[in-house]
Amino acid sequence: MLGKNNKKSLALVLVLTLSTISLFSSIGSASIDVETELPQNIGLKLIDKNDSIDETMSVSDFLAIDNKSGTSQTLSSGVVQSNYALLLFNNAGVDIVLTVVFQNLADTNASDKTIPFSLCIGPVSSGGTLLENADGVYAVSEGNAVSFTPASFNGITSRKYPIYFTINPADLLNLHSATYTSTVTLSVGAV
Amino acid sequence: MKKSLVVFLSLMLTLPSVFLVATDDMPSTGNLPVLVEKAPIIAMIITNHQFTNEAEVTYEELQSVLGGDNGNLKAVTYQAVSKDITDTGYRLYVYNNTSGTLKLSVNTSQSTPLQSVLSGTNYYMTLYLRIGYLPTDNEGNYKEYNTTLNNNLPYMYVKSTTANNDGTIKIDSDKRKLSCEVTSANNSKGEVVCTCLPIYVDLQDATAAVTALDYSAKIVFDLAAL
Repeated sequence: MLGKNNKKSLALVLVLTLSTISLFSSIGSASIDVETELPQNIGLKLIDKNDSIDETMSVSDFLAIDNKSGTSQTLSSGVVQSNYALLLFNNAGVDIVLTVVFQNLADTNASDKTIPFSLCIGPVSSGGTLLENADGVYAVSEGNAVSFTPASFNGITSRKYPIYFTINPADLLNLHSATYTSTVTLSVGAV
Repeated sequence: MKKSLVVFLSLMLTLPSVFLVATDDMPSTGNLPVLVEKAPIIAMIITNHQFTNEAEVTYEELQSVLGGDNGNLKAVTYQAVSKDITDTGYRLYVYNNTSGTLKLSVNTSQSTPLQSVLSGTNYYMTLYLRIGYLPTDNEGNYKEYNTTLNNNLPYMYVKSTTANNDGTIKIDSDKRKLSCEVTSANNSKGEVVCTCLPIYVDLQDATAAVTALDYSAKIVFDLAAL
């Protein structure tokens, strides 16, 4: 009897073990279709001013766009539209803040020779400032950071802003011949 | 067996979602370098235009006299002169926004002496021309450059009595300094302004001159980068 009972128990254990191995194998193949979760992200890129955008683009669409960050821009006197535009991406459903900071154009060989200038991101007036009540930011080259909160991204994920630079023509007179440079730094984050 | 399967799948679905957000590389900063190229400008003009401050004439003010022409102009004028050193009221302005030094000089091959022609005969008067601020004594009288003046201001002078065979100006070898260097000048704000060189004239001794005639001379100046 003992011998018979022992054989039965042994047979049952074998069945359980086989079933567990089978389960694990099927779970491993079921975990492949997982990348359908929508990541919540915010970001910015500099794009060509003439590029059109899909305001409902996905993250992968945004990441695929060529970023012109670091590309040099030549200025002249008066109000001049930049060759580049700012693209903001926000699918997080939260308000974001854009920070702008830059300083006077400076002679690359003489730091005391500078040219002040201003920056307008968004619709511009004839004087180079932001149109009243428009979505955007206006800043001058004082070196202090200027921030603004763009309009809410309700129903859209992306928005494009034109960029304008303004140099008072009088500030270009009576200057030493030289190359004057500066860098506009933009950064975006959640409020 | 079914219950175990459901629990395990649920865990797998949650973990990859967290993993995606944590490693995503979204650009949140950008920079846009900007630059302005200021072209070199060299300009020269002779004018009796009275600027508010002749020692700090800006390029904008110079343009108002140039009439928008950045080139060089030639002054045509009749100037009464005497045997005394006389400030003609004319000024030679040089604008130079380059960091280099310019050489201002008298073009002797194109300049002519103070002369008149009567019945085919040339008559000459001695012309002594000084360009650049002259020193003065305590009474305000002009003094020669070699008496004082060591203030680094540019100056030239030329004395002519007759002409060479080809009609060009003949210059007294002992009375000449035919060129000077001109660098960029700055005002108190550090802006580039024009270098101002007044023009003085005196006749000294008129040699074989017929005083009833009208005499004229042409002095051509060259400006070139060194």
